[in-house]
This record gives sequence, structure tokens and C-alpha cells, in this order.
Amino acid sequence: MKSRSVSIVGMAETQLGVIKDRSPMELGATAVVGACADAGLSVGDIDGLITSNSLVAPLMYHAEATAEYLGITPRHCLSVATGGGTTFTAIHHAAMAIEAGLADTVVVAMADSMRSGLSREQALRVQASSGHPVYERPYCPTVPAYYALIARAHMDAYGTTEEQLAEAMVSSRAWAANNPTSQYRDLVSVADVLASPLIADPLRLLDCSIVSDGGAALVLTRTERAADMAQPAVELLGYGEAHHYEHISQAPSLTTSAAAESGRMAYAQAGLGPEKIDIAQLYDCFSIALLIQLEDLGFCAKGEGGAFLQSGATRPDGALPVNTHGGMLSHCHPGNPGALFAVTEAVKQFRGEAGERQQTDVNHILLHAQGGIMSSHSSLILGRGH
Amino acid sequence: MTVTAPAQDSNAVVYLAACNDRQLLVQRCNQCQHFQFYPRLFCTACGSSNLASVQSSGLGRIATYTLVRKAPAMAPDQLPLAVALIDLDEGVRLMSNIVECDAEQLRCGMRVGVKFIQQEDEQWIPVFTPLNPEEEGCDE
Repeated sequence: MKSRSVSIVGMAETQLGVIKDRSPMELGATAVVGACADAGLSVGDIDGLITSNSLVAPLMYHAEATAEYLGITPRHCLSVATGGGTTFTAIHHAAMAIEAGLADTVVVAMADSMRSGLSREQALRVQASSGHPVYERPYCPTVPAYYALIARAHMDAYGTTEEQLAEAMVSSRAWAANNPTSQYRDLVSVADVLASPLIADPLRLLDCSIVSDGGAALVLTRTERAADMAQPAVELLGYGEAHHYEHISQAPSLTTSAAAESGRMAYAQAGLGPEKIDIAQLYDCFSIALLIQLEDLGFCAKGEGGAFLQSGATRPDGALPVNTHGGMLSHCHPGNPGALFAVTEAVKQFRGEAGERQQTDVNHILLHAQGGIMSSHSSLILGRGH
Repeated sequence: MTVTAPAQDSNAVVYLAACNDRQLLVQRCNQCQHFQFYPRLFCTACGSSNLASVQSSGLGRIATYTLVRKAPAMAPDQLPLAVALIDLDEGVRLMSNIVECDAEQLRCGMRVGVKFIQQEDEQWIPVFTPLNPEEEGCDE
């Protein structure tokens, strides 16, 4: 981990939630300008730009088009697409580009308008584009259905209950209630979740993440350079990736994900274990995804994720604060950029800017994201820069 | 102007043609005897390209299932739709629908058997239906 010497030195979020009057490009560019200002840099200082494509307004060369919009000429441009894991893959590529000397100041920027920008036809296409075209799509699975298959398998193997799954949203809203930028802030109870309509048994509406507009950007550079910057550095301490399959019918296990492997790599690189993690920012696209990550990343034993959630451990007064911004269940989920808000929140927690959600003695934050149907996993550990 | 379609997956062509003959094919490696689904040019266990398409018994168990209640692309009278992962007795897993069943009776581990239904495009596809314990003998 000695070679890892890259830090986040700037960040910005756009308006979040329902933003009808800004295009994905405008949101993304606004985030870049904001992140550079936060770092005390000008946009012209960017010599590396990593973006993810917009689903709503896709471009063939997305990063290059973003650079053009901003009027900058970076020497490294890359557009990343690993689904939900895109954020951390992009951050890792930014770090590698800096370490390899491809760029000194890399901005990672993502934005989309999934809430306001999708036509019904586009939404249907998105829904139908998942699943193997020959061996899965004829059976009309939906994205919630894939996660429901996983949830049912976990319930069957470990006795996990719908009440325990419901705790994911209860915890999410308890945090979101204290976040002014959260799209949904009303507290919910287990009974509220169980009263929400079934989408794909056993998953209900309130087991599912929200759909949003918005974006964010990060500025990364060498940690040694960060000492001269406007903001305290947040250092990348460990990273791991694991990819076990693409289609759910090919998953080697339905109840243990590749998060176990990516997490192990990130912990090993950072030289610490789950007991040293002060906050976990996990990928809560569905309640069951959060529950399995709690197990696979070592915060509780396999099969005990339900009981762990039910204990209240992840809530604001719990032993392991999880998704202190509210996560994708409540805060903001514009598609690929969704996990970026887990990072901006982590930076706020290190800087002491998290308002009513601020935790004390924050030294290590674990972030995890996954793309596909719990297929591609990436784990990132952040610490205070020195 | 001539429009050239991209080549179809050759293994999928064989699989779908067999489905139209109401046969469910799985692949067995002639080198290491590993069964795999979906069919590929190479064995995922040993890398051999010496693979045989063999007819599945069509019998298996529900590994997991869900009832799709909301699906934008589907007419309300098609819902709920039982989507399941089936573990065939040959040791491979595939996605399918469970048909002709009482949705409330579905459970993981339930024995199922294949049957074929025809899609709107006239392609036949394998789906599964619960087996009576007596019909199947000693399994449960």
C-alpha cells in the first residue's frame, strides 16, 4: 500500500432530487466546476477527466465531450461503465493514472437525469436490456425480480425475514431525515415498509432504491501535493475488485457475493479490518443487497445480516453507522452516479461538514459498490490524508 | 443497401432449434464430464472445446423464485409471473418461469419438470411446472 499516495482534495454535488431544468451534461459540468473551486483549483488545472456515460443522453465520447463543454484539453480522458460499481472503478483508474504519471489532477465526474429525463420508451428499454437475451429475457425478469431471487434464496438458507429486510429502509430514512439534500426524508417504520406494495416477492416498493436526477464530482491528486490545497486531503488507503459473473443464473452463489473477495483485497491493501471501520457506505440499491454486503464485508457473520439490521446497529445511534447520507434508498440515485454520493458524504464526514449526521473520530470509511445483479464488486477504503 | 445482421451465437442457434423440437439441451464436456449451461464453445471447467449437446432429463428443483407483480412491459393479466432459477438434475442452473402452479405453493427445493410453450415469435421455450410427489417417486 506504500505506492498508494493519492487523495481526494475537492468535491461538489449538484442540486439533487428532481431537477427538470438541467441536462445531464449541465449537471456534470456544474459538478466539475464546483469540485475544482472546492479544491482551490481552476478548471484549466484538470489534466485528467473520468466520467460515466449518461443513460438518458448517451454520447459516444462522453469524457471528451464533457472536456469540450468545459473548454479544457486534458491529456487523459476515460468514460467508465461498470454499472453501480462505476464510481469506484473510476476513482481507482484516476489513482492509477496519477501513479503512472498520465495526469496530475484528475476529476471524476458523473451526472444523470434518470428521474426527469427518461421517456417511457427509454425506461422500458432500460428494463428490458438487462438479462441474457437468449437464456433469461424470454422469462420477463425485471431488475427488482433479480434481487428478489437473491432475497428469497437468503431467506430460505438463513431464515432471513421480510421484517429484517424492511430495516434497511428504516435505517436509511433515520439518516436521511437529517440530510437536507435527501430526496426522501420522512421516517418510516417496519410496518410502513411491509404495507408498501409488493414489486417482486419478497421485495416491496420500500425495499427498492429511488430514482433521481443529479451528479457530483471529485478532484484527485497526489497526497504530497494535497498539503498545499484548500481542503484537507482524504486518502485512498485500499481498493479491491471482484467480478464473478454477469447474469444472475450464472452466479456461483446467490447468498455470498464477490464483495467478500473485493473487501478482503481492500482491507489487506489498507492494512486493517472491519473492526477499524468507523462508517460503512454501502450499495443499497435494494434492501437485500445491503444485507448481504454487511455479511460479506465482515461486519457480521454470514446469515446474520438480518439480525444485524434488526439490532439497529446501522442507524444513527448504532455501532456501525451505514450510509450516513441516506443512501440510494432515500438520498439520491440517478443511475451510474449513485455511489458517488457515498463518497461525497464520506469526504464531508472526514472534514467535519456532515451537519447533524456528523460522526466523531472518523478515521476509516469503507465504501462498497456493485454493478449488474450483484455481479461486479468494488470496495474502497478512505482515511485522513497525512 | 444491404444490411448484414451480426452472426448469431452458434450454440444458441442449436439450443433454440432443439427447443422447437421440445428438447432441452445441456452441454457435457467429453474431456472432463462437466455439465454446463448455457452452451458455449469451451468448457468453463477445463477449457476443452470437445463438448456434446445432450438432452436433459427435464427434471430439477426450484433453487429460488419470485413473483413479478409489477413489470412495465407486461399486460396486467400476465401478472403475477413466477420467475425462478431451476437446478436441473444434471447439475446446471437456468432461469425459467413456473407455470400451471398455485403461486402460494411455490417454495425453494420444490421438484419441477420441463414443458415447452410457444412465444409470440413462434419460438418454443422451456418452462417448468411442479411435479406431484407421487408422479416422481421417492424424491421428497
